[in-house]
Amino acid sequence: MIFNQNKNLINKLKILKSIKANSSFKSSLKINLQNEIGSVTNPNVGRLYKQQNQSTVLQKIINIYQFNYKTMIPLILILTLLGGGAGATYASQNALPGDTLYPIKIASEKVETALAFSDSRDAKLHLDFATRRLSEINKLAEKGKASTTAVDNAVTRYNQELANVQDILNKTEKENSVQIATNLDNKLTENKGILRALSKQIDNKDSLKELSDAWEKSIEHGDTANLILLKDILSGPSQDGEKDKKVEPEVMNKIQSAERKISETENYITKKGSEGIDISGANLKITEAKNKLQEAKDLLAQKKYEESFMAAKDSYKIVKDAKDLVEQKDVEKNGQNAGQKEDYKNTFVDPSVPNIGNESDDNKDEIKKEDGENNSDDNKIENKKEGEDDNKNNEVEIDD
Amino acid sequence: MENLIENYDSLVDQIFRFVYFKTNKKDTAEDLTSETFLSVLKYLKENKVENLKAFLFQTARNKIIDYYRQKDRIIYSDEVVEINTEAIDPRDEINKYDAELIIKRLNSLDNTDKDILIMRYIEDLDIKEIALVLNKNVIAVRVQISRALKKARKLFPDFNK
Repeated sequence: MIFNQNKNLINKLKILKSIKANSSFKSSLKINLQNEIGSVTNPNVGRLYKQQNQSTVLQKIINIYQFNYKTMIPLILILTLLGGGAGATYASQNALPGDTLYPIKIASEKVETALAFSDSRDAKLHLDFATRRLSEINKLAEKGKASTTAVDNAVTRYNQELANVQDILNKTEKENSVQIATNLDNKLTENKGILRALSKQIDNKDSLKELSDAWEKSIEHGDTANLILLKDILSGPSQDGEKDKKVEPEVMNKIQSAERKISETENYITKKGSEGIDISGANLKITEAKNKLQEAKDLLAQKKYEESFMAAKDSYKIVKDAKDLVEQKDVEKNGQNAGQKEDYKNTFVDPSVPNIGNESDDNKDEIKKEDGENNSDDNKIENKKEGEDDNKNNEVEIDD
Repeated sequence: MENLIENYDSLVDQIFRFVYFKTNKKDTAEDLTSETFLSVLKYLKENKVENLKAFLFQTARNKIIDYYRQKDRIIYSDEVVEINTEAIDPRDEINKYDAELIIKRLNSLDNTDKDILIMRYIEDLDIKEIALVLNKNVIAVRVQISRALKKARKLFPDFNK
């Protein structure tokens, strides 16, 4: 009952979303802002856009210098880096968060992206840096030094790098976006592998929450990449049959991922229900999500791949909302004690993500779910084969 | 800084709405929105922020507080709300009366509760972003959201179906 009241209230509030600012006000403010930016390098207001680009590199380097580092990096050092001061940069490459040289490592990364000569290169750098943030935590965890603060900072930076790639994708030319999306997709799979390994090494509840946040962000960005790739294949020149073969597994993957999320969340909700938390609203959402998922499956059967993918994505979001609702109620009831480690550990399941080298198989449930996964280097090949077989089985079911 | 211009179109409406719901005057809202953006832009020339959206909302909130301090004003819940038709995108069919009513009732909430409901349900900020804006931790934000909803429910007794 209360859930419905809330829903009605929220829907009413959303009505207010249609209120917008006056268009001429908006355009004149925009011009003012662009004038402000233009005044950085040259008072000549006319050549706004070009100046914006020219000032960018310089701006970025100045930003590095004035960034919030507690250890102020002398300007001379930055100039040395630019002038080929290989020594300090090289020495900092293996630095981990907490090391004295770590700020130099971060600064040198920013210099690299500032000097990137193309969108693709820029995106590749950001992707590499995103993975680096996770590897750094991995190394810290191996030494037992992965504090919650370090994990928090790493995840924030990780999310930021992914957001940077998204920005590039949004404004780059079409020819680049497919290549960038492909890189993004591959890197995200790798990142999820690292996150999963981390979830087994790290035992702190708050850290695990951060890691699961990074996982979910990775999924979101993965969806964007996959949609770009999907649209590219569908609009391409190959035959319809060939297109189906390439596109169906991707859509199936998303549907299965939503299915797993539904079942994982149902377990969570039931558990919380037995602790006395109000789960009525969440259960309604789960039903909604299941319906959406069925819609996705129907659309897939009709070969409406894009729509099916979007429906599966929506279903996934609805499930997350359901989990969110229950988490909220848990916090209301239990404050800081809300949430257990296991709740977060269950997030990191995805059979299409291969194990990375140093994972151990001490989680029996995962072995049951992820048939055929092992720690050998043949992971990727074996997993792909498993995945393909599964897809074929599913195809048969749908055709029925 | 580039992000500000690139995402300008969606951000400007969000900030405008937020300020509008707090001040109830279109002209004031426009002024404060301009001030917010210019102020943020100046800051971004020499600094970086973790989350642009959250930072914009933070700045807007501060501008609103300053505005009220200067004018020594208190909002009364039955104060006239002008929904200037120019403020509404003519493509959306929205019941002007509905909107006025909702805004009036929102006005009777505490500032923080009102802010939270606007940010969460109208401007779709996520919990982490709201935490940054209000300078609270994530759990406190969640608790505040449910409290705000509870209070708001009482204000909308006729929406009980």
